[in-house]
Amino acid sequence: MVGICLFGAVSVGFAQDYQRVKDLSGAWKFSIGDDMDWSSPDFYDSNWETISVPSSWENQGFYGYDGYAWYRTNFRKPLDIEGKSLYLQLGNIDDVDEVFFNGKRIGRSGNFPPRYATAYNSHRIYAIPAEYLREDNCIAVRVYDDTGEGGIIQGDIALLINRSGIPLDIDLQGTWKFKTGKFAHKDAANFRDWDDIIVPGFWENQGYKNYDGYACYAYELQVDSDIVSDRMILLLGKIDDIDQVFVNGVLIGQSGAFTPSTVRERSESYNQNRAYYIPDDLLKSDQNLLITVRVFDLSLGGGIYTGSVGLISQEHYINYWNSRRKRN
Amino acid sequence: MIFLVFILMFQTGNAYSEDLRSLANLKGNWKFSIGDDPNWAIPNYDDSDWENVFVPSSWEANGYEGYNGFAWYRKSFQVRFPFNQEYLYLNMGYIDDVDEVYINGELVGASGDFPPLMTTAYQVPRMYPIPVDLINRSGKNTIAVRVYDEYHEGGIMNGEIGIFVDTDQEKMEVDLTGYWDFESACSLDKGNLKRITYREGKIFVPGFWEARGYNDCDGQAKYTKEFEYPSQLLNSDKALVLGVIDDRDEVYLNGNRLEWIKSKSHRWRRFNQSNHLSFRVYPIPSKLFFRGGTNVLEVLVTDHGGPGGIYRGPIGITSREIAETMLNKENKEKRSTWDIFFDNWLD
Repeated sequence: MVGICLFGAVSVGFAQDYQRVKDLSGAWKFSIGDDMDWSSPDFYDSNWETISVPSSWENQGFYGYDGYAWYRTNFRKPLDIEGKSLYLQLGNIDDVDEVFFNGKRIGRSGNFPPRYATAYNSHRIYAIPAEYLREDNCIAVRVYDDTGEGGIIQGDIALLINRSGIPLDIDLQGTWKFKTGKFAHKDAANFRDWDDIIVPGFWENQGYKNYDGYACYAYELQVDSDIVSDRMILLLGKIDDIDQVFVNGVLIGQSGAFTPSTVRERSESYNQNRAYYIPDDLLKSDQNLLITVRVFDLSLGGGIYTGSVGLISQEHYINYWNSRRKRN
Repeated sequence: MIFLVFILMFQTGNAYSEDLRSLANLKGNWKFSIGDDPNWAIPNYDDSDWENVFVPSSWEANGYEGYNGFAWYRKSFQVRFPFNQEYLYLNMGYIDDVDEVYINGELVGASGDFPPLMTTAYQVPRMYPIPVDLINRSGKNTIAVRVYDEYHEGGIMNGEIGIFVDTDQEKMEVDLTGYWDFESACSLDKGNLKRITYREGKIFVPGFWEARGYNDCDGQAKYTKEFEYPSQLLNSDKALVLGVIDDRDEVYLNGNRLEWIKSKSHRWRRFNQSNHLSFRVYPIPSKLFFRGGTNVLEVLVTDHGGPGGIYRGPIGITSREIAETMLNKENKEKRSTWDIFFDNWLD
């Protein structure tokens, strides 16, 4: 990230047109302690304490407690959100959190022990992949507080839609594979052994605090035969700073020459939505698609950090841009 | 980028002060769709549900703010004037970044490189020759333009968009427009091999070599043209006209160097002659012609940065008198108010 716009961008995905569709503040279930089974929507939490969100747990009878705790709540799917890009806003969490939506991890900020790093001043907005959404939904938030006040402290706790988001035919938001290094992409054959990372989201918030330089993202997609006849476009949201994109090892595009000098020449790179037309011959129904995205970040926040990530057919993409034109 | 284009407009705006007659005005509403599909080049493709946009202007200015990627423009047109030339000139102005232009389904020109390894040609004025056989003289013609924009503004940005003939060309006794042998260290962009006007080892003159498939090409290139010189023409002093060349040139007729007439209007600032805007007229000593035989014209052009080549007409040999009249007219049109002030003052 370059220049002046850095600070705003790290904390909020700005320039997005968010609209609140459901208020999620109020009574949540709460327990201190730590158990990954608590992420499951089927976990029975009726005997847990009830706590008000947002508010520090110190203010709710857990004065002096530092360490792990979990929050859980349920909500019914709001009407009229089909085909919209959905986000979960959790405001400020002290210090570290990891969020599960119907048991699937959708985001993390900061680092849990033993490599502890706080993210208390980062504003949490996590993308919810459309395929995770059901009629009855469960949110589970794992929190670690190092010292002082802890918990989901403050903010507008809500379900949002992003009106400027691009509707996706195949949502690729969620867990990708990730490896740092200039030549990480050469190890793409072993991508299954790479680290997990949530896309979109800055890598700084996901265990790579203060990392600048090269990295590679990988995602393997099972191709459905009914998308094969369509021309597809790969949307990668916004990337800080520049990227180079391969499908099954074939270069399909880049945001300018993939060298650090491009970042200096194009100071707005980090704010451009990425869309890459996939050559037809790469889409075969009997073959999985391995998407690899090399990213170079010059300084501060890095990675595929916000926006719609997924595949859209050319027909739907044309409709999106034409309707956007009429709306403005 | 806008700023740069603006400067370029100022610099090469004069490039189209030649005596062009419009055969079809292509400014105005075009059909437009983002996306990319080779079928959109087909003349009878049904584009009735496409959007309308105004050309020339960026697609951002037409409601597609923030769009980068592929898009197509389509338009039907009629060629209204009678014509009897072998090639017409299609002027597409400036396109940001990359384009392919189809007329009645045939690829007539392309500049820049499409992804995955994109190279821009946003600073290259697009003028493509169209073989007249391709044009339907009495009925409907279709033009389809495939554009890719990588960054910032995109589309058919500005310029005099249309189909033209250069009426000054008719004043040439020997017409030297058309294919010249072309040697350069640069390699041809692959997309250009599919062009119907592609001829191996040759280039169509006039035109920037960047608009002939040699994108991003700087350095020296050699143009060679052989022509017959009918002896009955030798009744007056002759001159070679090479339109305008970007940037420096050396011209040889049958091995003898020809020098161009430096413009008088530049006399008060003789260190400031801009080669890339100067109209070239080379007086030819009559003894240099092989009468009734094959004459060889060799033009070495050197260009550093920006588009290069023998980029506008007229191109040919005519009487020295006619050539100098053209030169004087060019120089008058090209003077800035500052030049006019100084010229008046010096006269």
